[in-house]
Amino acid sequence: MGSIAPDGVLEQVVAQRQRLSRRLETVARVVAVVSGKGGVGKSTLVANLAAALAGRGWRVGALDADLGGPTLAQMLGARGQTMHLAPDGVEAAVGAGGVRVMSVDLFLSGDDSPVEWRHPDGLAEDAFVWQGTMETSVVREMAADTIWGELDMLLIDLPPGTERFATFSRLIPKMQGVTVTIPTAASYLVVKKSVRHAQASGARLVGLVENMTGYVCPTCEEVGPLFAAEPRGSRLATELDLPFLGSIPFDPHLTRASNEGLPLVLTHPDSTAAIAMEQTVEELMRRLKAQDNPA
Amino acid sequence: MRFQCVPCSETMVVRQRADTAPDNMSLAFQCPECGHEIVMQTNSGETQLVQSLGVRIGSPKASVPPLAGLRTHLIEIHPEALDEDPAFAPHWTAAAEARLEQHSQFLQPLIRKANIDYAQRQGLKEITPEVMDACKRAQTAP
Repeated sequence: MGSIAPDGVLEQVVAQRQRLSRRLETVARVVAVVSGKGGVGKSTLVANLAAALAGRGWRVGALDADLGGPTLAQMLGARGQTMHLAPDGVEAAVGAGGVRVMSVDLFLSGDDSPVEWRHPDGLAEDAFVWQGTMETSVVREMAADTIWGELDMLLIDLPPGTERFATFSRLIPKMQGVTVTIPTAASYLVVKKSVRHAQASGARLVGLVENMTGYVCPTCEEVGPLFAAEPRGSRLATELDLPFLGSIPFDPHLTRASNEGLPLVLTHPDSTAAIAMEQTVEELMRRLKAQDNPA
Repeated sequence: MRFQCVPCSETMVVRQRADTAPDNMSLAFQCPECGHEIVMQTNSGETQLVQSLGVRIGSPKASVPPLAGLRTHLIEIHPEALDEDPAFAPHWTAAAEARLEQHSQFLQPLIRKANIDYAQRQGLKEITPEVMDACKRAQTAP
């Protein structure tokens, strides 16, 4: 037995917030790529946005907040790097285009190692009680403890879920969102719910991107339909009172590029999908700059 | 949360603490007026819930190492994921070294440390005269 000081739970939580705010002082903008729906290509979009922005001379960081399915380090070719642990934080890995990357995947032992969390003995069955809190806390920690340096933009790949963006925008200062949909009724339905949830909570959305709006033939580059429904992302954006940032067709080169850890905008810059990505980046930058210099 | 002594209406104070297991602890509270004691024992589930917030129990005064929560909670971490070599320092270019040598022997270690700290905070792997200028500006900024 020994004497102790009070634990100061509240003080520690406040200190965590202050640490995150201090870290992000050197980051000009924080943009999360979000969607209520899973499987809409958020991570691919983040990797390509990051590389396209870096190609314009922006200093870019990419944080993989999808702890359950971390893929960003793979898509940006940052896997397998050793990161330096300094007293003040951990140096980000460096991915394609010089993008600074942080992902839980960088800590895993092997390709087949899942993200598994430690539980007190005998309490694994009750993990649902605290696991969500802990994962949110780990994302906050990754944002706060990574040495990002001076960044023009920190992109965050958020996991799917209607309420995720609202939750994280309360946690991470300066955060705005780009929401992603695909042309299916299910995606429109869930994206609408997540956007309304974000708007009701005061979270800021820069705009909406529609992904997989067609299929780019690998031989003739003609764009054909990928889903039965006609893309109507632009109308959805209007309905949700959001700027429409762009439509991006699916290109088989995307998956090949991701497998190689190189975003499509770098491997096939003249492809239809890469050009669509670049146009989306231009529109995103235009919207963000308009925020910096309101008329 | 606080405990109050019913007869005295005084707030009890923490007197002792014991770690009874890795995830449990006991806290002894005492009434400052009459000396009455009670002991509160946590259980693993409650402790885990608080730790999930990234809150450290028992040693909050100690500095928290980077990514402490991730490194504590993740079951298996690749042994080469992190380089904890304390000798790590950003590379000094010849021009930066030459600039450093213009200062007195007394000041050189202080300036070297300030620049290394600045470079590490900025995520820079190389110290150049331009980085030294930026470091100086950062130090003299109001």
